[in-house]
Amino acid sequence: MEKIKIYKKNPNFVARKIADEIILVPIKREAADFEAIYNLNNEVSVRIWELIDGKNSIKEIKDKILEEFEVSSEKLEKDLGQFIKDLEKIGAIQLTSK
Amino acid sequence: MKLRNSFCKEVSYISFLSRVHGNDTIKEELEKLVEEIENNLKRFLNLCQYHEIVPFVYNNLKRIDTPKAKNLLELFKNYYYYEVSRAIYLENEYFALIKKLQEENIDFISLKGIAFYKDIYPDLNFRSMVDIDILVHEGDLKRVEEILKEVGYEKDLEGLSEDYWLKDHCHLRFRRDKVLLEIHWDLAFRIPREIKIPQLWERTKEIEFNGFKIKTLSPEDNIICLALHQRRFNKPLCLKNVLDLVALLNKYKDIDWDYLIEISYKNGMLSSVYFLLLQAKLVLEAPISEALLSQFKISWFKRNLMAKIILENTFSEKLFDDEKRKSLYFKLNFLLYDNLFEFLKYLSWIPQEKFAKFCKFEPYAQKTKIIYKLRWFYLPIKILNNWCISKIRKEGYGKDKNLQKESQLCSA
Repeated sequence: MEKIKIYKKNPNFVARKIADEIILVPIKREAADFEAIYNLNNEVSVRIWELIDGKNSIKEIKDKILEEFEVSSEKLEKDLGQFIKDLEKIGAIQLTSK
Repeated sequence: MKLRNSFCKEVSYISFLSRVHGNDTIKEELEKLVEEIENNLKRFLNLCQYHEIVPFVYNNLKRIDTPKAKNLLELFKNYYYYEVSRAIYLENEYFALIKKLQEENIDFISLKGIAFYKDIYPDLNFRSMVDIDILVHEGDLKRVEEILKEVGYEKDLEGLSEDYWLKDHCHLRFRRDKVLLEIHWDLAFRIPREIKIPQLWERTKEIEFNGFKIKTLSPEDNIICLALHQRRFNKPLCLKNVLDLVALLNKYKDIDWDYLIEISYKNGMLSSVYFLLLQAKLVLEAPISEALLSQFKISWFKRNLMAKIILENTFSEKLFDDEKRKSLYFKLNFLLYDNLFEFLKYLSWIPQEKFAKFCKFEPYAQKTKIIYKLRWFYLPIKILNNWCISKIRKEGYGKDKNLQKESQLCSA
């Protein structure tokens, strides 16, 4: 995974906190329909979503998660990579710079 | 009449949920009820979909940690998230819309779903929402239309004349992307009579909603709105309306029943309100006293007929059959007006467009025009014909493989 990537949230998605999860829904014409939603239902994914702000690089996000949660570096590397891919796939995040 | 034993476990479960939502001390009871749900889980899902209560049931299933509950959750999951994502989408659109309306000084009241989930439910993931409903003064309609056009909404007349919508309906529909917006100027159709609630606008309450102050109907007028909604065609006995009533009654303990009964009496809708309360009492075991119900002065015969229809049909397979559902709607309408004359007046004055929709005809075809003129003969003959056919098929003489013997969902 290229750790110098920086992502920002797609403004055409709304992130709505409901109970203990965050649900991402596309809200604009060019975005997909209601099937392209994603729910963030654990603390780590919610925190990652918060850290995707157009300023934090992937490496910085990983370092912060390792500080805040008890997770192994290897597992986090793998899960974070997959999570970012999933969010990119549904269009919820956009790459800003490398 | 024994009520509780007439229902099977699915119904007990839904009924129980509506009464004890949020109460963690009854978790064991919930687990027990879920285990007793019959193994036809798909049918349970179909029922919940018809009654538009998937989100409500899903949220309560999450509280239980048994294998059966987990199976149910898996089955419900996609439907639940679809409903929630649609609600989030509508909420987002709603905020943009009310911001614009407030900027343009349009006085409006938010109706039903969008107001309810903020006011009487924990959040939008508890209630199915398919559109945005807003009530405006009739005099503001043209201006609202212009505003909506500016922000990209298009009027959707559904192939019918605008005249029909303005004279014989109570709202106009607008669409933008996936949003369906209904702009109401009244709470119900103006046939057989215009529903007059003189203090509707004065009695509104204001609620805080994401930094906006929005008007909603008073609890009493909300009950009237829910009762009137039953007269619409497409979803007879829909439990979503009944759940709304129960949630309203849970939150607002001091309903002004005198006002409600007086307005209902003056508008010939005592039966509609009574029917809604009766559904809540029979199906969801809401704490609605006999003393209150007796104030509606519904005849013994009508009361028992209403109860019979509710008990036999709320969870019946008839709900999934177009013709049987229409027949049920027709029967219900005899009961939802305070006197037969009102209902006959409605049939006399029913617009051709509504008649065509009910009979699934092309609204302006020549055939439709002719049959519409002969509707007093057509409708009874059609109902009799359907009844005969269903009788014949019940006896097994029909060759139609799709129709099965009619059966009640639950045994007594």
